[in-house]
Formats: sequence, structure tokens, C-alpha cells
Amino acid sequence: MSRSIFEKLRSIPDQYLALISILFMLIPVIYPLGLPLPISAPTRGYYQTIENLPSGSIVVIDNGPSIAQWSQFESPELATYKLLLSRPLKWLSWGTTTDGPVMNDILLKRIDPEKTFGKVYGTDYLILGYIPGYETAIAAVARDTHAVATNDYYGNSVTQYPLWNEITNAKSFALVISINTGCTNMDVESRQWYAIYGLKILEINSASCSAVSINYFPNIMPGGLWGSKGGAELEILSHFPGPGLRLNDAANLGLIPFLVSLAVANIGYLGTRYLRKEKKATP
Amino acid sequence: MSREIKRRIPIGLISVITAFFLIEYFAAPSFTVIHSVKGELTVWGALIAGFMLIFGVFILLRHHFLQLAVRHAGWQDKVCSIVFFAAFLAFLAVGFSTPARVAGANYRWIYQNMYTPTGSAILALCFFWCVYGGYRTFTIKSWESAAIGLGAVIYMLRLLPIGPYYIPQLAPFGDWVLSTINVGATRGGTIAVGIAALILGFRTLIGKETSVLEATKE
Amino acid sequence: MTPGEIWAAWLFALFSIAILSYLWKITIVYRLAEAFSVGSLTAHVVITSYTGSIENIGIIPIISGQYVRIIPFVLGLLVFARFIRKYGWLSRYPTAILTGVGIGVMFGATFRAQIIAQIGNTVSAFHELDIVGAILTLVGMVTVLSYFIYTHEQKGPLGISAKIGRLFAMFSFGLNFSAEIVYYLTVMVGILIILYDTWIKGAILGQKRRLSLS
Repeated sequence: MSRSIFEKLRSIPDQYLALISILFMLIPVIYPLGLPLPISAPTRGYYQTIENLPSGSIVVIDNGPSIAQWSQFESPELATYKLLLSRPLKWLSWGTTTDGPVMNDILLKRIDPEKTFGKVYGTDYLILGYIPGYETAIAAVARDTHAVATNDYYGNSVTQYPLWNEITNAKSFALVISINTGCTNMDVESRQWYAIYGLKILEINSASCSAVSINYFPNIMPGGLWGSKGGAELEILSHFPGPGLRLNDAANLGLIPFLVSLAVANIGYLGTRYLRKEKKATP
Repeated sequence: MSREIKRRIPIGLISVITAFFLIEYFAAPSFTVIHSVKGELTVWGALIAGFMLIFGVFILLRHHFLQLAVRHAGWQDKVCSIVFFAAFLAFLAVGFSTPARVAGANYRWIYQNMYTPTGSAILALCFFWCVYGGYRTFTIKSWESAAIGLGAVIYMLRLLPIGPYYIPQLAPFGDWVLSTINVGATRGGTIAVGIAALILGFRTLIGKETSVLEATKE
Repeated sequence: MTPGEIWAAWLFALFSIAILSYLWKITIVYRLAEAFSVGSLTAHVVITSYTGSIENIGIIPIISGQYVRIIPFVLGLLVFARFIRKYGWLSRYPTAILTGVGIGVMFGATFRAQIIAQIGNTVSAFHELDIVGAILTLVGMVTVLSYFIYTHEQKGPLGISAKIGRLFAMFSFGLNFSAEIVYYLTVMVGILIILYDTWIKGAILGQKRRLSLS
């Protein structure tokens, strides 16, 4: 039995959809479009919060990205580290996931803080390794930071570092920056840092969590960067160019096949329904 | 006595620890002993969590070992298990070969150039599954599906620079929709989850929440 | 590009294309790449968990005199009792400690962070200029909450409220779905950029390109 055009519209093979999507994605990769990017309020809040920190403040970074989501976290993390290193601030980073300290190290080697900003490891910033337990680990770090680590990420004893001796617990920190991939991350962070110690939290998360984390904006979470778009916006605000703008620009056309396929599927559905009704009506 | 040791004491432990943490939350800062004990218990939790992770790894290793040695699996499954063990042992050897462990240059190199592309590509496949799924199921059949579709299209176009470039009003409108209608809905969900968490905590406190221990056969 | 960078670019391309071959069909190439990914990640978890937790919090403090850490160390070893059927019940003790601590750290703070703060944020929105937005947020919050009331039949005013709450929730799911799809899209585009920049232009055509991951 021959199928109507509407039924054919609803049965395009998956491989064709994939191929067309990849072709549309490739166009701005090879020929960048260079479209301007409007800055959103959470990114402005993120930037302003760091800018307004008093000199000498210590920031704690709960570092929990996934290296598989490299493209999501590369630009916001790079822009954040450059912003922190360019200010008279200090920071302690520790891993809530196994990949957090690894990405931290890779990105810092690219920045070269000592050469670029004159910042010294152990005095201006410190990286601890992964501590399992997520919320339990955050509670442990917040309660008594010295109890959770004896060595830093590189395997050296932490007691030799001046910054380690300035930190005792949550009261030593002025701000929390939480980097995570889970959409319930702000629930956890707000419980452990805000509810108990009153610390505000800036979040870096994947783009998929923007619609959930925005719940906490702006009172508990004065700012947030979600995915490469957030990273690109911070790159513009902080005047530290990075990979975010290129990535965000390159994603411009990738959704067109998806939107067209949605329209086509709905045309097919409505047409099929209309034909069925017609068939039932005619005897 | 056997039942007490095997079941009732662990359930009692959960209740006691939960009650202790609740008391600690409301205790004044001058009660330093209570706060110190809480801090030490959280560190214990982090240490036990590390063992649990390694335990999970053992389960996976056992699965692949049985696949290779015992089960009547196809040659493709056995080859995949061999590759699994090869990758596992290679990364383990490189990782433990230096005191810096995963911070070592060699480990970083293989992790960046071998694990990262596979992990990213597996995640990237999800885009195509979303496209296939959306194409097959995202039809406007009711008010609810229309609401999903409307929300999806508005925010999708807002997220990429191309949307605000051709429709400048999309940027402020998309942000407004995100921070009003969306926040209303997610806030309701967050509060509901919070209430559920409180109920779970209360059930744990009175020893009713035993599902955690059910997985172990007596 | 240095030989190391060229090797890295080829490895990146090899593994990415092996996984993306799934789009054509599931072949042994995809399965091998997937098995490799799982194996490498498993080793990574072992190394980081051992270093960050067992060594850093357990072994080193015990050696340096914090003998109280022997208790959680032994409890952690008891987890493995599950492999011995006769003594499997011993693993309930570390599970009980971890569960108690996990629920304990969450219990007290939930009320302030997830309930009081959220209601407070909704009310404080009325102090802003956007009254329409504040009203929409309040209506959304109340109606979605009413949708989750299962102890009363959803009829009459509760039924109407629940229906409106469903519409708000569905709209929010649409936003979440779109954010999700953009997220996966940028992951895919990130791979394409690295393949184009470092593999095609760098390793194959020999143009000067920085390896994005270094």
C-alpha cells in the first residue's frame, strides 16, 4: 500500500538526519560567522561579584567538571582562572569529581600563572586532589579544611604552602565557585555553604543546567556561567579572549536541521491525522 | 542477637548519626566538641566513600573477568573485555608509576588524548539521539506538548547568537521567560524536593528507612 | 606541530571517529573504543579515589599519629565483605555510617536552603520593578506545588491549580530540553573544531595549529 507524502515526511531515516546535522555544524566551523553575543544578567553578576571582592580574599573552588564535557567547561574555567589570577585574590581548588583537578592542571599549564600574572603556586593558589563523597566531602572541607588533605594534587605535602596555613574552614573563604555537571549542584552547594555559613556561590555548569540553577539567582547565586556561552560572555566582559567565542559561534547553524525536522514531523503528523479523518468520513 | 547485629544495629546507627547531625546544625558555635565530632564524621564519610568506589570497580572487573573466563559470550564480547583490561592495566600502570600519580606528564598525555575524545564523542552522540527522539515524538497533540514546544523553541533560539542577531528582542524576552515562568516552575519543584528530603530525613531518624540495607542478603 | 602533537591529533581523531561511527551502525570498532573508554575511566577512578581518599585521609594520617582514622579505614575494608556471602552483613556497617552522614549533612540545611530561601526569593521579587514577572513566578511556584499534592484528589480548585501547574512545568521542561540539546550540540561542535583545527589542518596539512587540549 503506497504511503502518503505525510507518512513519508514522518519516516526520514536517522542516518540522513545525522548527516545533514553534521554538514550544518561544519559550515561555521570552517567559515566562522562572527555574530555578536549579548551578555546575560547571570554572567554580569558573576563578573561583578569577583570584581567586588576585597583584595586578599580567598576563594574556594569546588571543582567537579567532567573532562568528557571539555568544550562546555574549557572556556568558562579558563576565563575564570584568568580573572582570578589577574586580581589580588587567592584561591583554593579541590576536586568533587575525579576530573576536576586534572582539568584545572591542564588549563593552568596553558595560562602559566607565574609568567603571565606573576602568581606563585602555594602562595596565591593551591590545588588539592579529588575527595570522594560529593556533599559529604563539601561538608568536610567547609567544616575543617585541614582534615581532608595531607598532600596536594601533585603529591607534595600541603603544610609547606603559605596559603594552606591561611585557611582553616569555611570562615576563611569569601566566596565559593562551584564547577559541576549536575543540575542539582546548586541544591547541594546552597545547603553546605550558604545555609550553614552564609557564603554566596558562583556556579559554572553545563548549558543544560541553566534552566534549573537560575532558581538560585541572584540571592544565593549572584552569577553563573553555563556552558560555552557563559564562557564566551565572560571572555568579552573580562577582555581575556579564549575558545568560547569560536565554539559558540560554530554552534549557530547546528540546530537548524533539528528545528526543520520538528516542523516536518508536525506537518506529517497533522497531515496524516487529516487524511485519517477524511477516510473515516467518506463511506 | 544475630538479627540485632546484622540489621537493627546498622539501622540504629543511621538514626543516631542523623540525629547527631541535626543537633549539631542547631548547636551554638560554642559547643566545639559537637562541631569537631561532626567534622571528623564527615571525613570518615569521605574515606568510606573512597572504599565504596573501589568496591564498585571490583564489581566491574569481576563482570569482565567472568565474561572472559566463564560465560558463553561471543568473540566480540570477549575481545571487548580484553581491551577493557588492557586499557585498565595500562592506565593504572602509568598512573601509579610516579609520585605525582594523575598529575604526571605521561598520564596527563594519555588521559587527554585517549580518554577525552571517547568520552566527549559518547556525549556528542546524545545530540543525535535528541534529534531522532524529537523528530519522532515531538508532535503538538495537546496544550502540554504545545507548552513544551514553545518553551523549547524560544530558549533554543535565545541560547545561540543567531537568534538574537536576527530577532534582537529574543535576548531580553528569553532571559525574562527563563527568570519568571521557568523559575516559578522549577522553584515549585525545588521546594517539593526539599520537602521530600525532609521527609526522608525524618523517616531515617525514626528508623523507617531500611531500603539502603536491603541490597545485602543475610 | 611536534611529533607528540601530531600523534595526539591522530589519536584524538581515531578515538572520536570510532565512537561517532555509531551513527552509521554499531560495529566492533565502536565497541572496542567504548570498552577502551570504560577501562581507562575505571583506572582513573581507582587512582584518584585511592590517592585522594584512602591515602590522603586514611593511610598518611594514621602513619603520622591520627589513630582515630583506623576506625573508618577498617569500616571501609568491611565493604568488601559483600564478596563473601556468609559475612556480607558486615558491609551494612560502613553503609550505615555513610548513609547516616549523607542524610545528616543534608537534613538540617535543606529547610533553610531549599524551602525558606526559595519562598523568600519569590516574595522579594515583588520589590523589583517587574511585577508581572513576580506574579508569574509566584503563580508558577504555587500551582506546581499543588500538582505534587497526591494525598487529596485533584478535583475542583485543586484540580484547576494542578492543571495550570502542569502547563508551567511543561514549559519549564521545554526550556530544559532546549538547553540540553544546545549542550550536546556544543559538545559535538567542540569535537569538530578540534578535528578540523588540529587533525586536518595541523597533522594532515601541516599548518601551525595549537592542540586545543594542551
